[in-house]
Amino acid sequence: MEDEESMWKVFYVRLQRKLSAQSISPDIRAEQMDGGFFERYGSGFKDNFEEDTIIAEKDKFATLNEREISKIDNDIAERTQLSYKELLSSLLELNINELYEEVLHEILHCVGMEKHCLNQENIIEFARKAFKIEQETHEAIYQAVIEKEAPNIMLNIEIIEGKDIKPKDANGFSDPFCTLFLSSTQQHRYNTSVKSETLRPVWEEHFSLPVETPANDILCVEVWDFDPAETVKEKVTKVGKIKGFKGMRRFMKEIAVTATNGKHDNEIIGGTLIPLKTIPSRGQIGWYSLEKKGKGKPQGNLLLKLSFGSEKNKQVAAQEHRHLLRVLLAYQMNLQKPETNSWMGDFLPESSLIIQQHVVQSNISTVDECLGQWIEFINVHVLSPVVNFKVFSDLIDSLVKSITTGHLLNEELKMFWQSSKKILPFCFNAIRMIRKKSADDEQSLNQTEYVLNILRNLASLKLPNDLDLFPSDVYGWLLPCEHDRDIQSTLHDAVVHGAVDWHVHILENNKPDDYTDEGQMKLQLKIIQLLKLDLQRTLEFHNKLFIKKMQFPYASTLFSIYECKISEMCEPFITRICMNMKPINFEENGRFQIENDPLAMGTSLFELYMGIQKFVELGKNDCNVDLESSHLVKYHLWFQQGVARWLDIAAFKAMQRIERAVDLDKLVKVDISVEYSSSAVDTLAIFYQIKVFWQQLAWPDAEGSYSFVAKIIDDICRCSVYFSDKMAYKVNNTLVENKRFKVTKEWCLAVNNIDYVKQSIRPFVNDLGLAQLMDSLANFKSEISADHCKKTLDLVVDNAIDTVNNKIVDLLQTVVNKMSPEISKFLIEGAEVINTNNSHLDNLMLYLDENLCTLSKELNEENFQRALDIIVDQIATIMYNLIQNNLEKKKPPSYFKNLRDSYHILFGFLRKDNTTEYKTEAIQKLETLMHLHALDTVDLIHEYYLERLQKQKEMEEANEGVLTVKLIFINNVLKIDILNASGIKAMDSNGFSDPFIKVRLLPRDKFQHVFKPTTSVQKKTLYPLFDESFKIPLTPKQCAEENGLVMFIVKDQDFMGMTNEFVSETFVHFKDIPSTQLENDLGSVPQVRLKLTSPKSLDTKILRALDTRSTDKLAKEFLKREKIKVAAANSTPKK
Amino acid sequence: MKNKTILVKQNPILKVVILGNSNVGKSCLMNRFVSNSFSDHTLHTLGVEFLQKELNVNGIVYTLQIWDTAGQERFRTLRTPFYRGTDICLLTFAVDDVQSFKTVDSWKKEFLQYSRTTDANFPFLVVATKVDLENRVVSKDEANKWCSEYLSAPYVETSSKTDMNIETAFTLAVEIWASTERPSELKISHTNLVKLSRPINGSAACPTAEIVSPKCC
Repeated sequence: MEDEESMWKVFYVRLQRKLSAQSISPDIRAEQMDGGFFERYGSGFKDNFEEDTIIAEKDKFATLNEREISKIDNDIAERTQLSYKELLSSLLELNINELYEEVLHEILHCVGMEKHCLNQENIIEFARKAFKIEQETHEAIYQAVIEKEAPNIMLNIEIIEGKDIKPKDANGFSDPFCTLFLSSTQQHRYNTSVKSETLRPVWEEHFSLPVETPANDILCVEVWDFDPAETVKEKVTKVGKIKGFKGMRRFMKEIAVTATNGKHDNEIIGGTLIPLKTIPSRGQIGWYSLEKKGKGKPQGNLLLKLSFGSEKNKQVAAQEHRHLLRVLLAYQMNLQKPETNSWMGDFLPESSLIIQQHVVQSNISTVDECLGQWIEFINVHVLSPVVNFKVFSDLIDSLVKSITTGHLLNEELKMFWQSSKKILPFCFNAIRMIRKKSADDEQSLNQTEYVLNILRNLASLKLPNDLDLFPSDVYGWLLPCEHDRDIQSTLHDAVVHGAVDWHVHILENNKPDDYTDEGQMKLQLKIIQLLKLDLQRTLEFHNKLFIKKMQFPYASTLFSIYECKISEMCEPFITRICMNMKPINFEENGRFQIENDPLAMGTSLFELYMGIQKFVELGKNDCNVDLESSHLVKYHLWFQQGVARWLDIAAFKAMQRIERAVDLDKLVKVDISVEYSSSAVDTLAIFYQIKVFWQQLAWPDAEGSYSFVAKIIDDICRCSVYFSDKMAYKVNNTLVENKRFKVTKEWCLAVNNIDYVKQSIRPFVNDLGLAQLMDSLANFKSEISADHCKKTLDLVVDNAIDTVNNKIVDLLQTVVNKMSPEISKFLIEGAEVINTNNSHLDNLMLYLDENLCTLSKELNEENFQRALDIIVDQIATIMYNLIQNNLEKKKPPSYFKNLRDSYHILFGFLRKDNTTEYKTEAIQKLETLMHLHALDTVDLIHEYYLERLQKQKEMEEANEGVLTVKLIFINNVLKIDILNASGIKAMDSNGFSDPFIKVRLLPRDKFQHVFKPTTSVQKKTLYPLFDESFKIPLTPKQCAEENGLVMFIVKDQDFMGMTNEFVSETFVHFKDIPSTQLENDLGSVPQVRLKLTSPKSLDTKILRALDTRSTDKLAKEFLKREKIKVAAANSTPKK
Repeated sequence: MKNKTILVKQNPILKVVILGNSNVGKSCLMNRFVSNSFSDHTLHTLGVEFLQKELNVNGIVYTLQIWDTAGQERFRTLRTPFYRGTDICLLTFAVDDVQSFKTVDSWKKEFLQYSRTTDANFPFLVVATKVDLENRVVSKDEANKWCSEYLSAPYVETSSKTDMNIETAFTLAVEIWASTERPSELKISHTNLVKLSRPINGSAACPTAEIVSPKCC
């Protein structure tokens, strides 16, 4: 895989280099002819639709939505039937003057540190304006207030804890306790409990001290070390006896008394003095350092919570407080007119002071304060949605705690829910309109989080039964619901509604202005991308919040809505488009043509496919959507027909481009490091782009993938073959006629080009993802199916590679054919001159060497070997023809021997590195022919007999009879028993023959003077019994004759006894004859049944070869004898 | 072995497509022909399957590239791309399935539509399968008559199970192909091109001839 990877990489770099090189002369680019058809689908595809266009689009929507949303929120305000006027009139219900009087009173008797920084007159004036009190009325009220008694103010103290307390005891610890009192009333002392052996005491004890002169008094807090000596023991024993709370109290008091009196050995650790005027009325928590006289360093630190309070009726005070809030809010909002959702709950300093004084002096609890704010802030928000959701979110956080712990009265709870009901529509609208601000705006993101937090808090509570929280007049957009409404289901509806609205928005703002299919596709793609963008935004920003706060699967809910819309929009359209795509048509003249169908040419359809695919992937990977139940699960099937058509078109476009690429190819190497030229690169570029196209399609279904891959592979194979043909044609045309052919680099480049394209086929196929495809087929169908499919694809690929290999061979063959005339010229000239000093052969070798050098240098090893083989084959063919031609000229064997020598020299030269014994048909034929004609006549004749023996052995039936003999060598004597013959041919008109047998040993020249036995004649029989025995003495050399033969000739004695006619003959090879040293072994010599044969024709290679030797007496005589035999064999019995 | 590469078979290659309803036994037909095997339980073909086999017809050895297709309707768009470039089309039906016989004509139409062949004499062969079955409902006479009258296509009866007429059918198909005139439209582009993926007849077999001139046969 890595190799392939690097191969493609290298290839691509080359391609780029080539492209950039070509850009200098741009008129020669093959891809220009089809306008970069493949590049558009392949590598150029992904860049096509990045999302820059959408950004601008989004901004447009944002502003558009801004207007939309404020309109909606205002609508809610109208529906809640509240107005500013109404708010004011509600104020009239309570006695505003009384409240004003109360406020003035509190201002006058301001508690805490604010008293010194405030301008009392300003505050009073502020209050007057806020309450809209006429100056006159004010005077009266003010007068009354002055006369009124100062309020009964309490200082509330919590001693929380101490730290870094100085150790006073031997053990390194102290046993600290606190004593506190006001400087004006030192007799009123309060003590905390004793914390033994610690330097970090924790008390958390509360005290309430009545304050008469809050302006001048000072709070004193002292920390003491409890008497260590006796009381520890005492304490231990006493603690054991203490029972119940009261007991403890008493115990503490005792300690306190002792501490106060100072009679014991308690030692002061340190103290702190806090002037009451430094304490803010709202109260504060802080660390105070403990000082001791004479000691410069602090003796420790004390954490104190200090605040003022009063005693007042709780409900009255709470209600009063709400009214106060309402008055001040109305005044402030009117004054400030804050932006939507911008008010953070901060009051004007004056209002703040008035409110704080009211809290303190009317003793408003934190819960009451929160509830008051919850109610009144909501009232304000309903009037004009200015309050930031953070304010509500913080309020409800603390309120829910109080509600769940039962700190709210029923009446208060009712008020709480009534207000909550008013704020809920705002929350849900914020969800619905979540897209109104750009999602990466931190503020709006925070708002969403606060809204969700509000919803989460409300959802955690038990909803009231007696209140319709979701009135249909406000929630017109709620989906029909069978169950009880709750926060969660309403949230779902809000999300759905928001998504549906967004979809409508997108549609409205993307109305088609181009009603062509192309325009429609572009539009649909844009819509899908906008929806996807929204989903991505959701995933990036909101989804986590929704899940964290509400366990609400926001993204997957959106996905479901959008995928439904996409499916509705795209499916019928795409299916129609794909069905209507125009296929290629052939024209009359045989050229194919694609109507300039924009669908076939443009990339829109596949961009749309990718758009949907990306959307689906987003859903699958990031939204955890189960695609099986999705409308889009089979989106690819809408495109199936389109892809099929596209591949069909692509195949033909590829061929067009290949044709062009080959035309443009100058048959020059692309660069020095490679062995191929531009058209090979162009062709591979097409493959590469088709591959990229397929990879990007990432067809999701295994079955379809398989068929498409099969189709692509088949097409690639066709392209490769087409390229080969074009290449071969081109290079053929580079020939200059009437000139000695020389192999050129161009020829070799052509071969290399084809080879290079061929080599790319297998990596290309692997790159199509075959391995994964087979895996998924095995999963999807079965192992067997996968196996079948794999076999099919392998076969298609193998077939393609074979076919291209054939093309290479074809081209090499063409080259060699071009060399043929030259080669045969040299061979003809060379064979005429019968001497070893053959300069023609040298010339031929030179010619071959010259061309082979080019081939060897330019071709790869495999193709060079092929070329060599073809040359050898070609020479063999030429020589064969040469010999055939010369046979008629009755050349002597020496001529052929000469040729044979040339052949051996040549082949030795061509095959010097080649050790294989394999011989092609042409070589075999040539060798046979040369063998025949170069042999001496004697040898050739014997060759003939050997052939006859071979034929005899191959005979299946003995049609001409059988001769039964026994043969054995005994010590250089050949003993022959001729027993009988059966079924011999009838030679005479009476239907019989008069047979006898002649025995001859062959080759004749080797057995010239040996005994030549003949049997007696058996009359009138076809089944003669001879039973004759002969002994033929031989020399050891004769016995050892390698191809020695015994020939039995059956002859028919002519009735005249003059000419004995040939009947048939049979042969036995020496090597088939047993041999022994012992005479008495004869009994066990086996009988041999020899099939009798006769020559049927003179038309055999050997006889024909002999026939050419017209000047050779031996040959002539032999042929004459054989002619007679043939004549006899074909004759019918004599009449 | 090295030398063997030179002797790649260079037979004329014919692309054969087998069409017909699902379950008529297209794959069985192909498997019997190519590997002389038969199984009663053959899986549905996925899209397409491909096998090749050499066949000697009247002394010429052809390499048949056989594309077996999936008959099910859902594979329609997946199989039709393979029609283009086809030389011979076998239209199959099973004799025990009237419906498969009735749809032969629509298979022919589908083929003509997608192969975009302009060859009026395109070689079709109607192949009846499963003639070994006893419950045959399409009679030989009926089929034969219909094929010659309406489809003008030769008709042959086969059984993959009993290996009846299988090779005969393919041989017949090649003979039909060989006997029809090839119109020039089938050649892809210029006249100087051979038909795609079809080497010129016997170019290596007769090396003395003027070889591999791209002049078309």
